[in-house]
Amino acid sequence: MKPRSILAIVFMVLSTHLLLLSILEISFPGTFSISMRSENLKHFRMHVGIAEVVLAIALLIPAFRLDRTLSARILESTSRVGIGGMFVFASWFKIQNPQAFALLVAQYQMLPQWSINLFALFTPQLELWAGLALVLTKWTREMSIVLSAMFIAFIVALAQAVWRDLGITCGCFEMEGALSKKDAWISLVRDLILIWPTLWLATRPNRTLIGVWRGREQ
Amino acid sequence: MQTTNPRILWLLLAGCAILAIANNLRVPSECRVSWFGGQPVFPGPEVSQP
Repeated sequence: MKPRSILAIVFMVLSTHLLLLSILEISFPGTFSISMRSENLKHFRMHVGIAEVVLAIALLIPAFRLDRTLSARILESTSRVGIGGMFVFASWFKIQNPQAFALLVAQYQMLPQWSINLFALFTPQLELWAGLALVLTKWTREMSIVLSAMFIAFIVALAQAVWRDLGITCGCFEMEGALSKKDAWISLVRDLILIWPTLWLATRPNRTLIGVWRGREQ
Repeated sequence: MQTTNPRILWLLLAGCAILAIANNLRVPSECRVSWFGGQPVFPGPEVSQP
């Protein structure tokens, strides 16, 4: 392997690590946050998370310049596993308890009353199967389009909740009661970060994860 | 430039609809929801007991 490729791998590993840290920093501050460990940084976890995203994107530039093909392969693989895995994880509690999820959907005050339960039943299934299919099948484009559409729907729902000053919780990963407006903001920022790799995946050719490394088209 | 396969999308949507119905029948009754309708957004004002 050429030294340029090894250096590209190092940049990609660092970038992926930082992006993962930023999502954990923003979404699970009690468990993973770096900023929560320091009293001075406690109120700046959103800023720390966004700084990590910016740094992660900055590291992609030298990686792609050093070895474009290898970097694209690493980015495609990690994006598929990361985003697909996240959707599978997010769907699990909603599938186990549709009633509690329907309550979370209702607090957004966005959907007509008759459609809330149908939405609460259907959406987690779509998250689970589209997430699994993104990782395990070759239908990258189709699944990325479905997941991007879901991200857009979540972004619109969260943005209107922030706009209307609703004290809601995202309902993305766990079931909690209504929280402050700041939590809706945090979920909104996380979705605005994660939609970009999902949209990028929609531009990639359809192939399995193994096919990505064999360079197969279809 | 590749195009998307609409059949895959329809298959996914139809499969998820069937599984959503099956899941609502599978979960315990306290977690089940009615087919139409939703949860109340705001509870009504509390009535004080005499």
